[in-house]
Amino acid sequence: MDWQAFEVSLKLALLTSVSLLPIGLALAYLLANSRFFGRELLEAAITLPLVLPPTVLGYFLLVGLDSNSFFGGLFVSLTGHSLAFSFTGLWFASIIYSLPFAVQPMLRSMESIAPEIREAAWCSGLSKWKTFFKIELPLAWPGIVTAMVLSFSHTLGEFGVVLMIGGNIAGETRTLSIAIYDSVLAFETAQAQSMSLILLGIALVSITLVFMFNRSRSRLVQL
Amino acid sequence: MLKVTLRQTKPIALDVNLHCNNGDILALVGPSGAGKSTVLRCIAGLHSSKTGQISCADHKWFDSETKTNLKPQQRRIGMVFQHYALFPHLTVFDNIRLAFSKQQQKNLDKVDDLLARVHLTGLAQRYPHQLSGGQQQRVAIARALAREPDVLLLDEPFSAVDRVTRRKLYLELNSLRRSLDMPIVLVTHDLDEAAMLADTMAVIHHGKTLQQGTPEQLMYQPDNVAVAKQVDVRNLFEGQIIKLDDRYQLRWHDITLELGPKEAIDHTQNVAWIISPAKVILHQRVRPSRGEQENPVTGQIVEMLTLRGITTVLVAVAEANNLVIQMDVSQHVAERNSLEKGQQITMSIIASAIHIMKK
Amino acid sequence: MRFVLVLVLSFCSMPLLADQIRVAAATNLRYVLPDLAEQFELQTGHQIAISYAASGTLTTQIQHDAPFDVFLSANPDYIVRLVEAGKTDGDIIDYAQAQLAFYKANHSHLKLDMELKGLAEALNDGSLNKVVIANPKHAPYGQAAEKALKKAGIWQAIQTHLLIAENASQAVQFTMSTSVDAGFVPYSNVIQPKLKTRGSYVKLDNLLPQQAVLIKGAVASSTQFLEFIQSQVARNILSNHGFVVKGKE
Repeated sequence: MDWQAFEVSLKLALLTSVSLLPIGLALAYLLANSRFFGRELLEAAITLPLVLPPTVLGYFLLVGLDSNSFFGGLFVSLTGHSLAFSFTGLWFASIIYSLPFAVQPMLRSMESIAPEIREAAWCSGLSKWKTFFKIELPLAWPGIVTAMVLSFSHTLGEFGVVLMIGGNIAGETRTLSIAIYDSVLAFETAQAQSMSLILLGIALVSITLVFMFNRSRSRLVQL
Repeated sequence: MLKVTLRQTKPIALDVNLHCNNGDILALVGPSGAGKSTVLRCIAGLHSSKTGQISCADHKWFDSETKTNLKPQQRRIGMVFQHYALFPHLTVFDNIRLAFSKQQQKNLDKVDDLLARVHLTGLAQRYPHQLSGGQQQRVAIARALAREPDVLLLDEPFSAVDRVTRRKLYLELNSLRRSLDMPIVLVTHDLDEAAMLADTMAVIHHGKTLQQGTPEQLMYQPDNVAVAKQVDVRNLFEGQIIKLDDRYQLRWHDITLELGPKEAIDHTQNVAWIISPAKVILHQRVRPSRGEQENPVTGQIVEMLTLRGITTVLVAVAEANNLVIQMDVSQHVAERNSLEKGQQITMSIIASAIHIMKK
Repeated sequence: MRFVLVLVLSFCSMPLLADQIRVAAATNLRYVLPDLAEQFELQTGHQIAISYAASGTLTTQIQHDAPFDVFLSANPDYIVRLVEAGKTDGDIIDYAQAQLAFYKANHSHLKLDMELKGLAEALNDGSLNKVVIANPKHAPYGQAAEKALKKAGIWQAIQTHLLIAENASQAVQFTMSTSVDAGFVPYSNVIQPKLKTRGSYVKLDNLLPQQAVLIKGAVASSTQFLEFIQSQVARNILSNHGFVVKGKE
């Protein structure tokens, strides 16, 4: 059992899902409430990681995080560290990779709020911000929780992208999924099994909790 | 006093001219998609017309020339939506309290006052899904009033409620408005509702205000055929004006109707005319009256419908090419005269009630 | 006339007599095996169908009865495993030895030498970025790299700079990143024109035994292939691709 790899995986999953909270909310709000040219294109772009193979994502990330690319070079000049083969690089990659898992549930939740409710809030004197925090956020809450748990679980199970751009550095980019793969290749079956069971258990528990939470919440709030 | 002028061609054509005094209810009527809700939303600030002006209580809310366009939050409006749009995750108390301004927040007694005004005392801690349609309606009104608005806007507020509850709500709205000193704009597609509640009514069709006036004016003296059709005028016919030396006559196919002295009928020869079914008087066999000399017309009863004590008799007038004219009599008169399908009867069309319009 | 007929018939029947031999090959053979296969097909008319993968992956597949006829492994341990599992037929053939190279892409300023002195220097003065090796846990080139680094006495010190690639090919790919100063990669890869022009290298003296074995149930002509890869023709081809063979120093 590679506890260090477990720690890396947990850290990555937590950091990614927490980062995706404001990012996902902003994108979901924009897509739910605005009509602008290119809206469908944006939604499609956000959904891409769902349908693209990890190898494609991995390829673009490998090129994009490299220090001689625009983004990678910018990072180096700002922080002095390279983004490639680093935990930070993985964090950025995970945000992109798990983005649709965060945005989709939040977006569906927000779309299900009748527009009259927002308008009623405005007519009652609430500013757009206040309307968001006091009305839309509480009503979209189940979708937000689902988004957080899904992006957490998804990042925890990330493999293909990490394999392509991580570099398998102990304590930094060697996640549990990579450790499992290494164990399988090295015929360390006992190790591979115990680590796999742990990942399976976490995924199963977190997703079950999400479903339970959603079911109880939907009984309370009937629009 | 609320004044509204709106003009635009896209995305919905609008050509609107309205006004409403404090304490009056203005009903906006018209078919679905006519633009009534759009007008309401413009007043609320949820939609902006290309050109126009909206002012209320001497505040300029919208003026396309000076590029003034206050957001809904900046206008003091109270809006009641068609499906109430209550905040489902908040109690009745919080729903209303959220609409308070900062100063008012400190005075929580106001919430109880408002609830009492709409007859909902004791329900402050309930959630919207625990209330009936009528109760939700009242919460929506209370929330709209919480802001002490300059105008109250109601978007088909009674359409989602059953008839019995609706009648109760009419009475409550009526009594409520007496204590409110603000213009109230009510959008409805129910003409009876409008006739019952409104002090002034405006017909909107394809985004254009066709006519604004009292319900009586609109229903008995519409400006033109378009308005007449919108207010569901029941006897709408065509005819020709005949000018005699001292008076006018109306030629309706093979029948000549006296119009009586009129100040001026400057319509062209071919006109449209209407007569209220209540002003078509049955020649009673049992009790003949003097009025039988006025514009007598004979015909055959083709259909009879009774609703709440009033019988509408549909009569085919042979001399008018068998056009059907509607006559309203009280049910007991119909019974006393043994009216039935197929019978030949004679009626009088009251001259002074004939209303002439441009074709 | 009859002779012509026989000749024509024998040409027609040759494809019918020709087999397709399924070869499971380690990825470091990716450049040399096509040439070997071409020669073999010319000589015998039998066709080769090649599947490249990490030796470990192929071993697992063969253990689960994947339909291969011949296994060309870069790691002797895996062949032992298969023999013990009873999946093989006949003897293990040592047909060549692979070599390790220390390679850097053109963007890197690292000094390359066989004793890895340049590497140790960069490590000590703090100018070293990342160095990539294949995973020593299961990839033979990684194990060889680990040996070389241990021999140079810098294995412990270089741990924080190590990038671990999934296999030798990925190690090559990682050397192209500007964050990577150099990598330990198959010699047979770096002498390919594509890599030659994009970087420079030194050959290290590590030797990795390349072994072949028949899988149980292989088609009869597979033995011909095993014979072929030990022939002179094959040895020449292997030598040109950077492998060390018997009779050629």
